[in-house]
Amino acid sequence: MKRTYKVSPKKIGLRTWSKQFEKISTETISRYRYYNNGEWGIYLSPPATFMVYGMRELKRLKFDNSFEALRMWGFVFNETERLFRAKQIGKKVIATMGDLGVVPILVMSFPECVPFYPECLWWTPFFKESTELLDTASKLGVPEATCFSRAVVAAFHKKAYFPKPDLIIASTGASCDDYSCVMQTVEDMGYEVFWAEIPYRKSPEFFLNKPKPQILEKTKEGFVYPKILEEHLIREYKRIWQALFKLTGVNNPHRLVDTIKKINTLRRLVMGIKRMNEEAPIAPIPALELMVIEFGNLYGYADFDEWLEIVEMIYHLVKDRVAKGIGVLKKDAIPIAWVTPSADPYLLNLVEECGCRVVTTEYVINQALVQIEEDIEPLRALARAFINASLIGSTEERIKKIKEKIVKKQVKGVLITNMLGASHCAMETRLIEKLLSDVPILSIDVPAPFGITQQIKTRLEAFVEAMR
Amino acid sequence: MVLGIDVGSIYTKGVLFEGKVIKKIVLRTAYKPKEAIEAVKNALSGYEKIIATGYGRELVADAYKIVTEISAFARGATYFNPEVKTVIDIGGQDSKIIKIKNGRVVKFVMNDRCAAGTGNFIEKIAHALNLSLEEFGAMALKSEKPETIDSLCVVMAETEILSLIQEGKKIEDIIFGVCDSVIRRINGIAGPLGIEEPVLFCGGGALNPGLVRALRRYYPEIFVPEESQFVGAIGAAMME
Amino acid sequence: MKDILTPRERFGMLVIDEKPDRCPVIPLITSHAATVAGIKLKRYYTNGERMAKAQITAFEIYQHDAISIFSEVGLIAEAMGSEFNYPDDDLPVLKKPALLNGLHDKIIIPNPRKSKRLPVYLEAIKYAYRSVGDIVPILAYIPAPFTTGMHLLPPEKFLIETLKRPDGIKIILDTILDVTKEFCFEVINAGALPIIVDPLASGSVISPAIYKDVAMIYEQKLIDYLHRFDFDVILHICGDTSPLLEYFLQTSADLISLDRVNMLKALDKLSHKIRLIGNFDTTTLLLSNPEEIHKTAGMMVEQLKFARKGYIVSTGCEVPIKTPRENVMAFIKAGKEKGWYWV
Repeated sequence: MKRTYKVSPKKIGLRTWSKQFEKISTETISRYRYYNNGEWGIYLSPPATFMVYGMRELKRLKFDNSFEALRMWGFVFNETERLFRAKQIGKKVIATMGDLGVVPILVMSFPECVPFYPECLWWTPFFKESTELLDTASKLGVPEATCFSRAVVAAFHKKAYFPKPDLIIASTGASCDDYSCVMQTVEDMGYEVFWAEIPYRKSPEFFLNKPKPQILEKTKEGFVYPKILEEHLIREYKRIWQALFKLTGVNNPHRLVDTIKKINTLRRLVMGIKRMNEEAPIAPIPALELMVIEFGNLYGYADFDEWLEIVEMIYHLVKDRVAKGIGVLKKDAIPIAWVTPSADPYLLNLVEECGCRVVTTEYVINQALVQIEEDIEPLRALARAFINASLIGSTEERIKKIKEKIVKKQVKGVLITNMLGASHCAMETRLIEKLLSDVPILSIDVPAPFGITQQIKTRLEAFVEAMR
Repeated sequence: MVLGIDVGSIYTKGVLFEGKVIKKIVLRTAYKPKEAIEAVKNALSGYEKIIATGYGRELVADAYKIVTEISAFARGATYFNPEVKTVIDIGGQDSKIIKIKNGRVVKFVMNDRCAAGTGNFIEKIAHALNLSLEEFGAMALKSEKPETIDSLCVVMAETEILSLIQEGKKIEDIIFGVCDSVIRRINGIAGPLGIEEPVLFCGGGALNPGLVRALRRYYPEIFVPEESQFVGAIGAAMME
Repeated sequence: MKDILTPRERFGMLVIDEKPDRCPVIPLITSHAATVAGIKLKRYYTNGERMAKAQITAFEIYQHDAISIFSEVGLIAEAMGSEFNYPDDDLPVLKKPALLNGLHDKIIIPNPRKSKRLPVYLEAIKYAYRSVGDIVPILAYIPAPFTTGMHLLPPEKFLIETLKRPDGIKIILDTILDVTKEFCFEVINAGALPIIVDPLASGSVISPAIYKDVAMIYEQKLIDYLHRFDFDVILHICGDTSPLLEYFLQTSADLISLDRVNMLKALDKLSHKIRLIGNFDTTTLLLSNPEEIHKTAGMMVEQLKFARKGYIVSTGCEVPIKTPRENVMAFIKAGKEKGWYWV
């Protein structure tokens, strides 16, 4: 874990990073590569490179100045290229959608199969400060009222953001209805879509007055759930497994056991980073970088092994900073909780600029944070881990953790960002406001690309003033 | 002595303050906020420091402190009535509902992007009916009962009003209905935050007697300060 | 066929070895943009915002696939002390090279953000990037050290010195290289992809030996610098470069823009490793009529579009300043029609 330059932690702009990049040796640059390819797999480039290739928002973002963060950003931004290269060298590229981190585990258990999330493209219009993808989606019949994930429809049409997937697995049901609309449109465009169903996590009480008595189970964390829920999930996972078997001609359940172990390693590291971030007196890592790390839990940005190394490196960086009592924000930054991620990365910057510090989050991706049991039958373990996570449950369950933090005074306010059109999130705001009535709450509708206005800044500042 | 400046989108307000308002002035911002700020500073000389608030607060280069209008309104409200629990500000571009406790913001909400629930809505409708704002306000006071205007959108509301006129409804009732719809929108924006009395009503909207009357239908305990335009500037000056 | 991709997306696919909807069509529309925008050339090359606006106007009319920030190759030499005249209706003309009296004269180490017309370029890049950078790549043409050297000394003297005092020339070229790198750094951080132009390293001007021993070495070094950023580097050399084709592989450029070269030969020798750009004859573009241009350009595209590593439809050199609009349009139309890949 050799670091190539030493800096004290700070948030820096794109130009400063380019200057810092000049100090890195060419030998170091060629050391980091995805799919271990020395010709096109090199990814250690500064944000300026991606800015030149069209990511306009990078011009005004601030980043963590560590080498570790540089490595992470280079890797993450290379994803489009990486997916095309995967296909070029004969790997199978599998689109997984709406499943919240389980299907990629199945996919990775088949040789030379690379999972990716087309919906993660919703970031693209913001990073590019461009409405091109959203406008194209509108032209293709997915209107404005649909959430930003509609960018996916345009991407399938343009074929320039990821290669044609060898298999598209779309999960629907208790995940997000807009993804489902989006994928139906993709299907209408002539793509074959394999549908899977995510059940709603009903509480045992739900079944109390039903004629058919239910067998109840308990997860390791003590969550009681009806057994049919688990059975439903296992049935769906088996169908997906069969589809992957049909595609690859390979059927080796031992690989799934190994994948789960690897996934658990990653999740442990990320949980560790999150915990250190929560507990340290000074924020060791910016909210934006932390969110990118959390998203990586879903599928490792299409090269899991490389991603695991990157996260491990960041884990040690954070540990080191915490031990030294140093970090990227001021000591008096106000701790807040953040519900649902913002599609616009700039907002994460802005929140910190206004004097906040994000100590805890309630994201869709929390689903991919829980440990998967390693000592039971693997498909069952996947189902149980999924049930144990938060998203598919009720709002009340989802924000239980935040409530605890408010009571303990670890959080002084709650920020909720809504994505317009994402109905799930939109309806939730009011509920959350009701449930968390003891602290200042600010809810913001994330506007279209380039739409963060003075008014939004004013509200953020007033939110901070109210907490001070 | 402190100079509180509230640089709004339409008017720039200034007060010289030392325990109480010593002198005050209001000028049009008119897309030239920097000039308006200078003019206010010249007119109200003798201050030791400036505290700035409002949309253009960051343009006050020599400000000792900069605060958002939300905190400033909350503090300013206590100058008029220390008991106030909610501040409703209906401005030209946006509206705010601020819950306060001991002069501090507890929670607040603002309307998003849309003209519904702002002074802009009233202005557009008055314009469509060919009335001045004064005439509009005066007519609302003559109404017996408001007509129901359901449309939140100003464009759709115009159509709705047109058909009410064609049905032969009284113009003053329609106008009062428009005021009522703005207040209902305010209720909607407040949502679970709730509006607790006593309420201090300020901003340009508070100068419209129709809106005051409509608001009073829902919240009898409202209080409209005579210097309602200056709540922000006074509040800023008090945040020394 | 109607375009499916934006120029930005199209270029993005090309550089990762994927076939876009069609070949990118990037005629070298540089100072010609001033004609399109109806402004005097002097305003174009002395004012960044003007330069950008002219380029954007040209882009809106022609709908080609890149914005080109460029006027002439004296740019860096000027910042290093060579003097230029600025005619109203023509490009800058070299008045007095910085090293007029020989290598012992003083050269200036410029500030890449402030000296002479360097900020004009940076301003133009920033403006264009802000305004259309999401849909179209912004290319900034950077003179390679050899070409800049030929503007610091009187050209014939420079060539003589390379033979007589190679060490002295090496020091000069090393300095130019550093300055050029620093300027590239600013260009990148302003939002443009640097493309290297080395017109005076052409086979029409120098021998293959001087190219190999002097010009190419510095092209390579500049390309290496840009490769560290993971950029795909375009190298443009005008004139007849047939004898240099083999060397182009050694420069490690990713895209090579050719002028008076038999493209079938280039296809054979280079296309397995380098993407080709070129090479419609600019005299024909200036003097011929739209029908003829459409026809011959179409034939060229059909011949070259299946180049192994990819192909960009382009002119061999800069589009002449006074080229009629219809001619450029006919060329672009042919490129778009015949360059279509997708079924």
